Amino acid sequence: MDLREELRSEIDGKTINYCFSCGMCTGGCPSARLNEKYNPRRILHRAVIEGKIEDDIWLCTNCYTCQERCPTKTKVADIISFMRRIYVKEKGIPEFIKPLVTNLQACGFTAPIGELENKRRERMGLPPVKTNDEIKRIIEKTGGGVK
Amino acid sequence: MHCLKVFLYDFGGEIKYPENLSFGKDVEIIRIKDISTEETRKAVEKALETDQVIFVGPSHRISERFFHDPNIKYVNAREQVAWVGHNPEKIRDLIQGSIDKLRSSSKIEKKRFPIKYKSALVIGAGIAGLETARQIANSGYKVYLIEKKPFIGGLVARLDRLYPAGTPNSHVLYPLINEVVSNPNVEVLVNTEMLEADGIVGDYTVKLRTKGNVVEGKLPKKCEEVCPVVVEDKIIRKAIYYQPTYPEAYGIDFDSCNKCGNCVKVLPELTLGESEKTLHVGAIVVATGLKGYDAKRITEYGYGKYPNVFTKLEFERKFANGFIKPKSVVIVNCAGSRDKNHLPYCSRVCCMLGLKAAKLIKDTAPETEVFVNYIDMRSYGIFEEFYNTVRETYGVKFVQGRPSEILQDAEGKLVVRCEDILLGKNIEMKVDCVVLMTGFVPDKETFEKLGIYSSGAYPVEYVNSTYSIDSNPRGIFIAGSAGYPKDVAEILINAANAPGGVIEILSKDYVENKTPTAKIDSKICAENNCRICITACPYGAVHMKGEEVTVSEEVCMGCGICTATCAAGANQLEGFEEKGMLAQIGGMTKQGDIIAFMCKWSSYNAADKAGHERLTYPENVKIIRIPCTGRVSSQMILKAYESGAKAVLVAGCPPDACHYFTGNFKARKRITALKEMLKQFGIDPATLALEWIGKDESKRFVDIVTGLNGKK
Ligand code: SF4
Ligand code: SF4
Ligand code: SF4
Repeated sequence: MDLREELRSEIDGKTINYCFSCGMCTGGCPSARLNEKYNPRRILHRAVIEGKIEDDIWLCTNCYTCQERCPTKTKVADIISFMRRIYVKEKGIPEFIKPLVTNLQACGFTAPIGELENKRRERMGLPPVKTNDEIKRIIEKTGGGVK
Repeated sequence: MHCLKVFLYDFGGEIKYPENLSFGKDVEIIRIKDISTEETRKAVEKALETDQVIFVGPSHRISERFFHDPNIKYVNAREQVAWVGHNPEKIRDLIQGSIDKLRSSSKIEKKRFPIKYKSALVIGAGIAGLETARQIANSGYKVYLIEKKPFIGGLVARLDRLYPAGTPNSHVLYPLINEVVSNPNVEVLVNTEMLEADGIVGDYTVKLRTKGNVVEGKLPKKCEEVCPVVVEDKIIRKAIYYQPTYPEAYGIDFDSCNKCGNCVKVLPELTLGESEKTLHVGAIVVATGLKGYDAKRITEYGYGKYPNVFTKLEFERKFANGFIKPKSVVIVNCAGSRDKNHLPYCSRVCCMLGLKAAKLIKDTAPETEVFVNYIDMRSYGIFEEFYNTVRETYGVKFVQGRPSEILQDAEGKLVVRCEDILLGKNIEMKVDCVVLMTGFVPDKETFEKLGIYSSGAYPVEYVNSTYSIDSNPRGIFIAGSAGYPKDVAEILINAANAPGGVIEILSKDYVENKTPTAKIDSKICAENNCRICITACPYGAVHMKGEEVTVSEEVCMGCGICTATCAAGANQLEGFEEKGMLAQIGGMTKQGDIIAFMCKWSSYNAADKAGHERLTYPENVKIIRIPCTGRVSSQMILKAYESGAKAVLVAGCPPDACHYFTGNFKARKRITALKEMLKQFGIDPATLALEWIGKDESKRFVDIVTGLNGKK
């Protein structure tokens, strides 16, 4: 597979060529702040120059801060999501993501929501969230989930 | 029917003409010996007085050098017949096409604009306006120099120093001001705005409004003391204040003044009222300069929220006047520039202004820590040395990466978060103060009042070719940074353009149009009233005047893009009217021909070059010279097929290089749509080709037409 070909086939994927490496995306990225290995600018640059995807793409939280601030209107977060699709198509769901999918299936969230989380939400003035099995039913009906 | 005269020139035997050339009894054929003689010129001019004229000989490129009348129709028998080894019989068809075209076209009248008023209005008394006024006035013409602010000097007067050397602005400004205000040809009006303008080159009527008055020679400081309004104009001042430029008086900033009248009590000659006045001038210069981009809109940078985030001018004023003494500073280049969420363009001078700020800090307080954040350092030309000095001598630290956000911590320090691209990781800089190198925006209001068309932020003349040699005379000019951001040295050098143009106009009794323009038959237009051609014009020349769609003759460049869009046939480009074009196509096309519409700027020259190089291509290729592929209407293409053509080529300038910006792209749209239609008529769409052919691409031209000839 040529990653560059795949990216070119999507309208949003094409915007990867807009990037002029200013670093605003990485500079504001919460994931990059916590983990030095994660760098969305580098992910895009690597894709353009080397045509490679690596495991780091799974560290994106999909918060869209990068995309909102990007001065060239590169669809940074969308491209990273798109790369994940390509990744799964090629190599399947990576082992380290499986627990998240299991969680999702079990409770409707990638991380279990417990008392602690809801207390924190209360402090922030947010309503509590309950786990539900709706996602589970969707996953079962569509034949998804981790086998 | 007009009588027609066809002049044949054989270039010393280079061009062979068909035997027994004859086109009926009212077409006279005249053979000339030499194109360059006075005798030939006179004969052609004389013929033009009574008859229509066709000149057969070399390419237009040569012929147009000898004759200047747009009514002459040229036939290129040298480059496109003789030199490519085609049968002379082809010339007969080409001449027939031209005869038919002329018979269906109306005469192009010479347009003259008398220069009624030998004076100029210069709007904006910044450095560009001052230099423009100086040059026009020194050439002996009256200049009205108006300034919106209470003092002249513009942005430069409010700066401390100029890059690269850090020269105080007084070096440039003070002598310039003195020379201008002491010239008896100059009338300076401060606190004055242009309300409206109307007219045409040589004859403009402008309405001005002046607020307050100037009481020179009296400077009672008490005026300032009694004024209750405190203004934060980068530094603190009152609504009435003094600025050491001109006039030598206290000036009122009417945007802030609350009309309390305290100052009038101190100086009874002062007035707070307004007055209007009407002027007549022959030319207008826009020297309105630039404004800084509103930094509040870059919300991530906290301008307006955190007190120590400044814009460039603010910082310079505050720092140079000793209001702030930061120990550490981050300078953010490209703040909101090259940014599709803010200003998509580069403002050219901000990188250097960033270096200037860094040097200013280090020159006065060397212990200050200074960082510069940048995406790319654009220190073009001689400024590389400036960049080197700031890095090498002053130890300013350069971080590649544009900050993503700026926050304030509990101690009031600013936290600049960015990726250091060269380290490949995120860093945080904690500093006392941040300077945003925001970009510039032009004064669009004046542009609009004067009908100056801009595509994007800046007037089109600076993007492409509005002021190229083929443009028609205009009485409105742009000087200095109003056109696009420039530094002071560039302004002073470039400022010669506008006064040069003004003086050229004012020194004449009249100016003449060079390029035939589009015309609109208002009766036909009113029946249709689609207004499509308004949006088609790349120069904004087609506009509404009252209820009528009209073309501004000053602005029109004669591309014919608008004509091709007009389905009603109301809009006609002189010399390339639809009726004439269709007649020409019908007259010259024989069964099995390939008709090539080629633009006069690029592709036509490539075909000429094939002649110089003695290349050859199929004899059935017949070329029609057009101003722009955008002028080629669907009807013209269909007419070619209908008259027997087996293929049609439309060839224009390389992409993005159309002389009229977008004509070739408009042609592409039209031709893509037309190809669909051709199928329904049973014509193979592959026989209709659109190509971009640059002037040197003669070989590609040959390949393309040869390929088309191979098609059935
Ligand atoms: S913010 Fe946009 S332009 Fe800048 S590095 Fe990220 S993707 Fe590229
Ligand atoms: S969407 Fe992903 S890459 Fe973009 S800022 Fe958020 S976590 Fe970082
Ligand atoms: S489209 Fe071309 S011909 Fe028509 S008004 Fe504009 S410049 Fe003139």
